[in-house]
Amino acid sequence: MRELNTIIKIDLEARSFNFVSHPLYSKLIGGEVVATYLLSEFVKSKGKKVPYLSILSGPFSGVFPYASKGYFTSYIEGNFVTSIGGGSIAPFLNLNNILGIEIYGKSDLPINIEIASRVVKFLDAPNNPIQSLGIAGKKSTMSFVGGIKNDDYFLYNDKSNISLSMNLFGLVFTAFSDFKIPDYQNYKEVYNLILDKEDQLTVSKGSNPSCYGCPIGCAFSGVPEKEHSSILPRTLISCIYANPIYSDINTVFSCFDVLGMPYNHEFLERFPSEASKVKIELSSQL
Amino acid sequence: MAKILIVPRESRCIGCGLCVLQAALVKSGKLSINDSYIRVTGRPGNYKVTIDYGNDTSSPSVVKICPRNCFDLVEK
Repeated sequence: MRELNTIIKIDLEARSFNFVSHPLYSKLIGGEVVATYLLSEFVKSKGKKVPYLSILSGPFSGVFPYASKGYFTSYIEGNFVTSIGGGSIAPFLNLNNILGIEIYGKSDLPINIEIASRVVKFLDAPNNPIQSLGIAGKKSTMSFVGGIKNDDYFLYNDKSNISLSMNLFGLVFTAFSDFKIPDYQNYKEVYNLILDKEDQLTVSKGSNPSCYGCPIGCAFSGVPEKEHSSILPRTLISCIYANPIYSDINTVFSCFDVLGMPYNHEFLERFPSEASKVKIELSSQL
Repeated sequence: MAKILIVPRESRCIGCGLCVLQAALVKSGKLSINDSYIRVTGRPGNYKVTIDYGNDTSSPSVVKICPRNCFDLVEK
């Protein structure tokens, strides 16, 4: 049984890190709901003054088509920002069995973070540009200078100026693990079923750089999502343009089932109300 | 005759990584960026596709999964 419940917690001030696994994270599935819960817990324990960001993956990121978006949250000087963007960071995290990354505090000097082989390195930014870090073809890069950009193309909204507020200039995540598919034949069947639903997408196929694991290469892959969506797609972080596919509980249940993830129909039907509790809890704190 | 994978239309690549993941699935039954016989490097708009010929690269599924038809299988 697969449980995606590991968060990498990084303290910039202390230059320390932890890989933390908790069953509650997997109960909240991923994306928006886990991000909301993590921020809520963070504010409870550290208050509102410590600058904070998180990048969340979802259980289908890179595993099924049209579900490769990442969920970014920051809370800096009372400014709460969330953004959904494309690229490779969310699939790379998920395929390495990492649900997300939380980063908090402010570094004394400008730094870049390198994550590889379950180790986080804090590197002096001017002498270690993100382009020089990680292994080519196995890395996902996030730049926080002049906005947030994944892989030098895919933008996320940023109103909080991470590089200035946290002295964090960039992050490079290099793949170090993999995801064994429990039932390959069934997985391929469900995968192809979803792939064949291309006509349900609300975007056209193109030749633009594509999010990792998505065959579409649409004209909007490089820009953050603007439209609102219901909670389940936001938790899976499926693409807004694939909403008709991933809003369908039967499809979502089939995906979980072939991945050996412990969510049944009843759980998925109850999930929106559980998610609202988490959101209400956070709004009462901010 | 044994076949090998080649990438004659590399300039069409959009970096979706589906070939990387499919090659890993064929090789080891895992979805892996780390353990694939294909690696996609470079920048958006200028991707480079590298094939590790130390592996059996003859699976037609890699050719089929590419949405941009970058690959061919040819006889050795």
